Amino acid sequence: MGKPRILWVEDSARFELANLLGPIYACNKYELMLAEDATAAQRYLDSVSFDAVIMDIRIPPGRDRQWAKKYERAGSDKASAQLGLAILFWLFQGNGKPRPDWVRPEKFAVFSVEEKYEIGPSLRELGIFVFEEKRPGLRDTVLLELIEKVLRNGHGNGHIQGK
Amino acid sequence: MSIPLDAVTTIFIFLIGLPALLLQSLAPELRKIIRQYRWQLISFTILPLFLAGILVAAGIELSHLGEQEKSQPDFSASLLSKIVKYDGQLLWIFILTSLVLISGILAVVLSEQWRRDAIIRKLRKRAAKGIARDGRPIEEELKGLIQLGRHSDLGRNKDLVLQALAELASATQTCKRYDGQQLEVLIKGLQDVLILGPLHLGSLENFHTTADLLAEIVIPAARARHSEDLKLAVQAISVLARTCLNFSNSFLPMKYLEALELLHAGEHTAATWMSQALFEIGSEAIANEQTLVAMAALSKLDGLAQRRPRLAGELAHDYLSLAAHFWKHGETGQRYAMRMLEGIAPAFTLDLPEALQAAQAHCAQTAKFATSDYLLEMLQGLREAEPAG
Repeated sequence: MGKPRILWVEDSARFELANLLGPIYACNKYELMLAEDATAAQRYLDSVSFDAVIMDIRIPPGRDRQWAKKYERAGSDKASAQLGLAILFWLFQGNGKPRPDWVRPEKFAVFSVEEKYEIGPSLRELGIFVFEEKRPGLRDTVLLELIEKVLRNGHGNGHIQGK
Repeated sequence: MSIPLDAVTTIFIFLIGLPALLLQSLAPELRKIIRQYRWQLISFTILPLFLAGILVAAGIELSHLGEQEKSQPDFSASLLSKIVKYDGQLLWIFILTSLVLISGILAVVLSEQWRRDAIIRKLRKRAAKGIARDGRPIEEELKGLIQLGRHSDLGRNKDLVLQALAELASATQTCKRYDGQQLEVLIKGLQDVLILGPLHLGSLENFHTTADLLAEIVIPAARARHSEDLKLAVQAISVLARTCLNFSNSFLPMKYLEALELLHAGEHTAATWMSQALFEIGSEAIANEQTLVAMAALSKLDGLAQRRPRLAGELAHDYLSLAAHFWKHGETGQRYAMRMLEGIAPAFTLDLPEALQAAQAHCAQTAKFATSDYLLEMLQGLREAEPAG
């Protein structure tokens, strides 16, 4: 019951918010949630189940100490922290809890400035095959199209997970 | 043997004056907190003076003793003769060095203890003592922390208080005794730290931290039955989101909207609170020309409505009321509202015109006159748009 739930993890969304989100709200087919850092992403992924998750790779850590430490360890080149990727590994492999039923690789896509060769091996390891590189001049509907592509791959309705 | 009275007096004046000097250099809000802890203030003033006094007294005593014993035959072999050697100069150099050391230590200790983050940490720790004992932070200390936050400069200073409140909230909610009723003062305090009537007292960063904090409060609060904290947190989200509509940045109110998504909205009361907050944020966003935020609010309201088997009561009223605000927002707004209504109309328990009339009556009763008028206009507009016959 209800519209498909989508999580978009993206820290620079504030600059392109209207362009990318406008088409999604206008079509009114999806329930979209935004997370702008690793802490917020973890919070949502822990509490809510999603039909599609669109993940950026370069995201800041947020308030959580675990992510903040990881970010600090990256040194001066913060982009190399790749916290988006770390979140995915945390979700799929290593958070000490059984993986939620809804978490399947086909429900995930990566939308990031990284080039495919940089993160390709990691994504293959996770089984994530939908990838869109962020580059200047992308269509405003790129996020919407990405969501639709992921939803075609994975099926099912989202709901709030009972704790 | 001469006593260096000038040097001793200077150091004593320094010791007396240092706490007063440092206290005066602090921000007024910190001074107020420090003055509340009188014993600490007294001990910082008296203790170093007392210690210095003992040292000087010991010096005088030894000097006099040296004068008296000087004539004794075995004096030159005694320890005292070594202490008061060179006419007592070594002794007084040692004492003066010790006094300077005491002054230095006092200066370091005071500037450490009276640093803003140290005071906040102390207040937090004191407030947290109540969590183990009563399951909630000690109210007096918590209010002190909130007052400090309220009067602190926006930006980093306020953020330090907000971080401390976040830690207290987290500690309270992880306590086994937490049942959703313990954070009233803290949640209301968050609003006090950031807003004063319609004015905002916080920076973008402060509002950002608070949105995170409220999102973290909402998850455990929603797990508790009949959670007053959840209701207060939703109200705080609504108030703060509307306040930060004054910033040109639309990401911030969106962040507050996202915090609402963490409610277990399956519960009827929580869904009602959430829908009210979404209406409040959405309608004010339209008035502030932040249309994207308003669209996000209506989209979330739509998501909430779609998860219900039938749409009635407050949720239906809020949905229609927010749609009516779009209706009043020009031609495109009307089209958007129409499109949303077409999608949701079958879910209403009443026919759309009846549902609109019920929402209009509800708004008239609850003093939302402007919204009530918008609903009437939308009803009229929809009737006119219907094909004749």
